[in-house]
Amino acid sequence: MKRLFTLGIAFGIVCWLTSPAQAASGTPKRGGTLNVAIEKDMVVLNPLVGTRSTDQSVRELVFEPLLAMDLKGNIQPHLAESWQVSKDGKIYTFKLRRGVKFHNGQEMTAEDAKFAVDYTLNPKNGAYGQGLLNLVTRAEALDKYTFRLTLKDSNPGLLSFLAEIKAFSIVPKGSLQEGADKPNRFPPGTGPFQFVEWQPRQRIVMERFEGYWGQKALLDRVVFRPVRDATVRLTALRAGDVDLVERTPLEWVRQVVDGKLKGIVYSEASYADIRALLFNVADPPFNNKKLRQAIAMAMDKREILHAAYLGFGTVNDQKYPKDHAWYFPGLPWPSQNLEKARALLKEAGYKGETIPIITSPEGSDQTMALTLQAQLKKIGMNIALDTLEVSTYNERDRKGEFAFRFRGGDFYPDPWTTYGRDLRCEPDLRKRISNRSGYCDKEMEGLLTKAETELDPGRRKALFKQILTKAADEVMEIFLGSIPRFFTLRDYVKGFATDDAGRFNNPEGGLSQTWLDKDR
Amino acid sequence: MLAGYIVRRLWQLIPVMLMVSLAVFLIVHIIPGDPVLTMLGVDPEAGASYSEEQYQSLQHQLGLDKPLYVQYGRWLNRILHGDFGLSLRSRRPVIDTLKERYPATVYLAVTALITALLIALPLGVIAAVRQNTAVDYSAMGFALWGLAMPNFWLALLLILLFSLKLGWLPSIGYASPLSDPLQFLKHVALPAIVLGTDVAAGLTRYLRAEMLEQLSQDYVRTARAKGLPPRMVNLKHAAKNSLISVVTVVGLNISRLLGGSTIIETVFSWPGVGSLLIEGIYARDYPIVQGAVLFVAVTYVLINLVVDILYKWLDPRIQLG
Repeated sequence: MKRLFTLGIAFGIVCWLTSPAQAASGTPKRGGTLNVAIEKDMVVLNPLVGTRSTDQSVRELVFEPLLAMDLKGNIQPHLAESWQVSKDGKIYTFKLRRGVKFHNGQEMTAEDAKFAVDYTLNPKNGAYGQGLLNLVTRAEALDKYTFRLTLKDSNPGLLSFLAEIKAFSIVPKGSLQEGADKPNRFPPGTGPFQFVEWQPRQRIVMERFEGYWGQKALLDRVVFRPVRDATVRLTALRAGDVDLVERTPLEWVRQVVDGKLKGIVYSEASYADIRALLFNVADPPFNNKKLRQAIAMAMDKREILHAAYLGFGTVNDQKYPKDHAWYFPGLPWPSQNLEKARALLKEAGYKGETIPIITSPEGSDQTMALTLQAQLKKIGMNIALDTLEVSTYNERDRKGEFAFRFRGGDFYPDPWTTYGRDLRCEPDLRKRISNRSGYCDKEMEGLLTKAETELDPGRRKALFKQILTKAADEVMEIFLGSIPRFFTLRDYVKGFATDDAGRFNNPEGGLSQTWLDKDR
Repeated sequence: MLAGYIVRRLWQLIPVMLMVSLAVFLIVHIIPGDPVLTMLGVDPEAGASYSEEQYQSLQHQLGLDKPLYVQYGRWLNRILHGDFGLSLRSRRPVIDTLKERYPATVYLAVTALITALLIALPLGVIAAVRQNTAVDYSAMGFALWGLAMPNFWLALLLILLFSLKLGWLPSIGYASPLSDPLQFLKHVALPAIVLGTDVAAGLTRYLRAEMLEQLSQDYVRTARAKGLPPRMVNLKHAAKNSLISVVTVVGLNISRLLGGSTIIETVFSWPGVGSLLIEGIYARDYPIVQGAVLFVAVTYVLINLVVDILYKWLDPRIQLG
């Protein structure tokens, strides 16, 4: 009984610790301006062209996808009220919600949705969603509120893509200029906030959209302020110059979690970033599988994450976290065994030569690589850090001019997007697009092709289990685990909670449901 | 004569600009890196989802598939027509971006310079006049400290003190002096003090040395001998003659400040041209880098011209030309 009681208290403390930002008190109040410090400035005023995560976060307030996804991963109606999929899974017909207004007052119609899809599919525009919609061959407006997508092949992941603005968001027909050499301004969106102004490097201002079709936002305004230096970001929060801060450095998070900074609480995105060690398997030395397996056996994932992320992070051997529907227990990864690792090195013909690992100067890349260096030393393997500036790093990566490197990433609702793009054969190994390891295998290719279009959930699950089992055996990359990302906020900011992916606006309680519990 | 001199100097600007633009063009294109990848949203932290078709289309539209000399020729041709092109990343006109960023740098540079002069002029003169006294030692102590203190560290300490502990000044942000002078002063105070201290430290030492040199000259002894009050001797004669070399140092410092102080702009989130240049280089945003460097180079040359004219004004014996 006593034990149960202690457990209860411990559970209570854990709950209290993990969800302080959700402990909203009182009734939500309308009004006020929320100042948000973001790490990087926005780059491009075109909602269909993607450059970096900041653009994505800002756009999520202004632009909306066709569908939505609840926290359990179920597809929900959004700008489309209902949809039908043909038996062969190649034709999707959407009924759009009536009376949805763009920020300029114009009503949203199927023509606008068609425009956005056509714009995305035109390679001239360099739109971000083209890769996600690659199976779509045609978009049609059947009538004012009926919109149809025709696919080359069935695609069980399509609806989940359409639940994110990464694929596309609906903008008024003709509101964007075609071509990468044309300037664009933010067109009107349909979201809970409308875009007011962008002063580069100073502020991005959003205002509540009173004509929003859904639940209207509570805040009058949201002002994003780019603050590059992490220490200054937190100082600005403590000084009251901003109310909410994204990407709080982990060394400060500890203090916030321990309650050492008065009046400051936090919200955690538990699985915001995935970390993995990626090998270039197309070229020596890591075209030798035994060498890769030796590293997998010598590596201590926990130690690496601990060193680089100060004890935050969860060790894992695949992209989806343990409680996710697409998690597969018991994948046959080589287990840690230094003796066996040394033996494998010998078999592989390794003679003590130094292998370079390319690292990026940003983030914790170098700490991870240094920790790995020390671990591999124990089995007699020498690696050296080759730190490259970001643009050079990207280019060498695309051309396959590296031996191995740490990589980031995230998981998508659909497993094909999550894994398929990393494992598919690249047509040109000197121009790698999404499969950066250069891995190419006939059997794997067959499994992936089947999994991409398989409509039966049970069979699809079995296919992915096969795929991941094969990947664990081939070791083209070793998953280390997920890293959380922390928002920190003043305690008078209520109703804000991020989701697992660290988004600003989400069904769990993003900026559209945030309110200020103070008089201004 | 002066007008002719200025016109001649301005003519010289043309070959200088050509050389600068060619050098910058070659350097940014030779270093590895691919702007198309940045445009397509590729970064090492996340995956990518573009098609080769998209890649080639963008490369072609931006003319990046052409040989370097063609790219340079096109760029030069556009510049001559007053068109700086579009930023590869944001697809906004480069000239708009420069118009947004450059004033912030100029305002900060001017404020920092005024701060520096307010500190350095009196300090340097007094230190020399009262050589080897406590005043001199404190002034030189300040100069040593100012030179030794890393900029960004002083910046962080000032933010902690004035923003966090005392709450007097905002830690981040920017306001234009034209639209809101009071807010501007609040925002510019800390960065201007940091940059001003940096400049003032060197300047104080320089002015003191120059003053000591002048004070030992014969004309100073003569002035003293004929009974001029010490104030007059020190300020009107010795100080004015020390200014020539001071003007050179100040000129160099203005040019440096107008090039944008990247670190301070980063710490204070100041929307200047220094941070723009760095962002442009990282993203291989060629038009931005070329445009910004051209702007900075023109400023540099113009400031040098002004310095030369000031020499003439300070010392009529100097022949321009």
